[in-house]
Amino acid sequence: MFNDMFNDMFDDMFDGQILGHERNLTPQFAGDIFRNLSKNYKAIALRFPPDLHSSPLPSAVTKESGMPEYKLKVNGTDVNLNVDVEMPLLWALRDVLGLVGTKYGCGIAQCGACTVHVDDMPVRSCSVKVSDLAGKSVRTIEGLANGTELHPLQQAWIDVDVAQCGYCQGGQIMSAAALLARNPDPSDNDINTALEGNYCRCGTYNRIRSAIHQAADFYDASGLSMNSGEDTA
Amino acid sequence: MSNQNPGNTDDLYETVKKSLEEQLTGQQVEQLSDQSHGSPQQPSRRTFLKLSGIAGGGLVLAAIIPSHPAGAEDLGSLVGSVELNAFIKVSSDGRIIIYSSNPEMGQGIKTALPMIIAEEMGAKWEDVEVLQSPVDDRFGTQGAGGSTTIPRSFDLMRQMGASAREMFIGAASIAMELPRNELKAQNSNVSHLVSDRSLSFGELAALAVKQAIPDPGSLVFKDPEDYTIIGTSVSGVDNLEITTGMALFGIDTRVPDMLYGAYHKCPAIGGKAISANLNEIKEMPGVTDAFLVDGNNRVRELLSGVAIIGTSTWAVFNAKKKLNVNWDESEASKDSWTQLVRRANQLKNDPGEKEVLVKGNVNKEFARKRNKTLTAFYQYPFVSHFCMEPMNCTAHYKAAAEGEKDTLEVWIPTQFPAGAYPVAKSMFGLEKDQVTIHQMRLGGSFGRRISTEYVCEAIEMSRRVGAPVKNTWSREDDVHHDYFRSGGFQSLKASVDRNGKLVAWQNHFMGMSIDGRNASGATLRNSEFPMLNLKNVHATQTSFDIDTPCGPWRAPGANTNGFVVQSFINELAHAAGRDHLEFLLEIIGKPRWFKPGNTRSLNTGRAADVIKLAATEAGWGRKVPRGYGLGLAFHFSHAAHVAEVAEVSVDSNKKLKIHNVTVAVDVGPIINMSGATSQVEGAVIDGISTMVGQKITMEKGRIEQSNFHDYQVLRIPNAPTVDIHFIQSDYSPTGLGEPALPPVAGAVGNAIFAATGHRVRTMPLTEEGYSV
Repeated sequence: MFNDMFNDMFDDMFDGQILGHERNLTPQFAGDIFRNLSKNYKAIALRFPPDLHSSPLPSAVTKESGMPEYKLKVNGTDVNLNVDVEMPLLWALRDVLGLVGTKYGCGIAQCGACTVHVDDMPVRSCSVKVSDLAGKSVRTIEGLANGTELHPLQQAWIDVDVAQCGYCQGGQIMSAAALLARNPDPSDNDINTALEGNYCRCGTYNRIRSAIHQAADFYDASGLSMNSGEDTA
Repeated sequence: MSNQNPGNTDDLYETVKKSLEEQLTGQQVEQLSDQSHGSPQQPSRRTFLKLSGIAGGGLVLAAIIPSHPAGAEDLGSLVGSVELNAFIKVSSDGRIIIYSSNPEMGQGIKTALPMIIAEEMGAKWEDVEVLQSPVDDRFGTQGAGGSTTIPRSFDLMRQMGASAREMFIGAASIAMELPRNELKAQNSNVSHLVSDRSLSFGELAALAVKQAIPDPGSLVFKDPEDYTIIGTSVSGVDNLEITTGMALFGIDTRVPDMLYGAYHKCPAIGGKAISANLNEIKEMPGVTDAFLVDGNNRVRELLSGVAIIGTSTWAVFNAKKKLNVNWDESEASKDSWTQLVRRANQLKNDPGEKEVLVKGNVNKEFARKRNKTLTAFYQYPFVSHFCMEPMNCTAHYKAAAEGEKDTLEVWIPTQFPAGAYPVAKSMFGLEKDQVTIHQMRLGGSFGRRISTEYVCEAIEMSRRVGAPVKNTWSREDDVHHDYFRSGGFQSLKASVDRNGKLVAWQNHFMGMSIDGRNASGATLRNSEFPMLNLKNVHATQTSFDIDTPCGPWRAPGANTNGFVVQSFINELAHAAGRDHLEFLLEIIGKPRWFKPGNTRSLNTGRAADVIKLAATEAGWGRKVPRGYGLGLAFHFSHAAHVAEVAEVSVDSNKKLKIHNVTVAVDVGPIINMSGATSQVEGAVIDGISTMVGQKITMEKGRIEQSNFHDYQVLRIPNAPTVDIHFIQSDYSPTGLGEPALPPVAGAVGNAIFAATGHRVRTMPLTEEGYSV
């Protein structure tokens, strides 16, 4: 069922970038997602000229003398990061690895825009150092989709048209994904508690709640597990 | 230090806004409103010329001459594509590219404008791919502000779509050997009305581009009854990128060999950097350079500061924390919020410096014993924009070889991309043809991203280090160096007669000014509701000159006046022993225009309709549990009539719960129903977030707040549901980015009064002891 064309396109687009590892898809699950994605897909390919999107990594990624090296897994891929012992994960993701989907909002773990998963737990990447993550597994918004198959939350976010400016939404989705992984049918209160640390300046909160419920319903109907980043089949 | 320098980008917002407003007032607006939405309109030649003027100097004629815009994306993959006009390209395999010309900051314009084109063209939305257009004169005014993009662009977008449609029909007429009047463009095809023959836009593209460009005067717009795209709910065109974390925003820009920059300015606005521990900073990890910048002493361009350059954002932020600067603060701001409040309290019973509107005789009414006369003193603080994406700009200044010209390339999330041209010229001597501007998606703006200081800083850093530099502000920079919504004070007095009718209104408005000019939103206009509706009015203004930069903040003026006026009207209704709804409708009066024919002015019929609708939908007058209350407010701004009813409950500890806000809106026809409801939901929650706990204060010229820990924002548990109703009147569509915000604070304040009997006159609510 996996469509080679999509694979190729993803590879072209994410040249040099780190993506979620490929997993097997359940056919009926993939169908709807592909239909939706195939339409949008062309648009992405056009919108990101390769020279901008896959620009050479800045000099920070090259080995600098005296810089320690930290091995961790990012979106399923082993990476060695040569960064200062104090560098927060946020800036290693954005400036060293080019994973800019994780956003800077406050730098003090108050806004949630930088939320990623570390060993499946939601953390604020602005406030955790790379040097404390050796051997850990990090998942970012770029690695949430299962190959070309969107995570049900991503699909729900598109269907509900949640985003206004969109800047905080990656962090919102990562917090929501961690919630669904441990609570497949959250109440409004559960959502409020889990996402209280994710601020949205545009005020999309009601649609965030709707999208999470929609994704939960999808999981319920599909009988799939919700562990993002792990086998879903 | 100078906040406002004539003739430069300091004035950019005012200039653009003025020109946008001028475009939307008087004759031209009458012309626009003539093309009302209720029936198909055929623009006359005269109308067309006026509209082309509106769109920016002959744009329409230029725009429909096929040519490739400078700096356009590489569309090499678009096989056999043709350009029908500046906004539309179609490939032989049927893909339709529509350029969205204006900046997207969350207001949904990148989706809404192409919807209008696709509708008029007869395209199927699924075939459309939307690209952000290059910054180029061919696209007209590429700004966003004042909720003006939809009203300015609606007819232009229709013309672009209709002219492409006519070229397809012309091509099909030749290919199928059928008369044009038997052909119809729909679903990306041209179909024969009386047979099943049809050809797709893709098949027709090569021939369509050879068709004569239609005389704009001959274009007939689609009957709204036949709309299949306009008025539907369309998911935002960037949603896939947003939900998968693709590079999209200004701050995501990465170009080869790019370095990272931070720029540190004096915390007392306008202070000058004398010296700093630069050698120590240069030794810090990842730092490649650090230097003092003199700047030009202009707040909106380049203030004196310290630039730090490095190999990552963290490297420069980290180094900045260790920065030790010796500032000369002799000319820096000395502003103090405490002193401003003290001064306003001293002046609240004074007549006021400047008359705004004086008619009838308020004092006669105030003196009548049978009248009930109320006084009230309202106050609201400075607030920050707090955009989620901090200010940033990436610049690449390329010094040329001897005899050649330097060039500049900038990537900016901004409401006015072309604002970089004048500073590139005045500060760096670069002409327009030496500058390439990329407009990036904005992670929120709300009026913030209009000035160009973060652009000038990036250009200066790039020029100095000879490499592209991304200048990123920390959250602390973003708060300390915002252009705030200014605080202010209104001292009100009004009378109701023995029949409970509002008969006199007095307002001494105290607002901020900078270099003698009123701050954005800090001017009491003589048209402010309800002054035009009354016979006896005395309105004056006193301005407090300050140095703290102020700028437009979502619905300038309206966002504070909506609270003050609608709260005081509620006080008067209560004093008169009357129902607020009935009292408000009586003030509104019979349906009429105050400026006949000008759809940018208040229409009391549209006002009454939204007030009645909001009241009906909210169940106005119903019994609510003890501790609950309903509050009503109406505000007209940005050509939009909006009424809101809030339902709240308050416990004995003044803990407030806002349960629901019912909103009724008339902005004419809705383009994207999903986007429109998003704007209303967002504006209501933004307004509540602001009224509940947001307050910027300054002492000795220093802003006292710096980040989320000391600036309260509304979180998901406290977001009320928002129940939205549109009256899709036949007037031309107007913008919705701002006007749903102003009524909400009044509605919530009035609901608190209904629940508790306590009147809120000071913002934010935390000042009055409330919490959420």
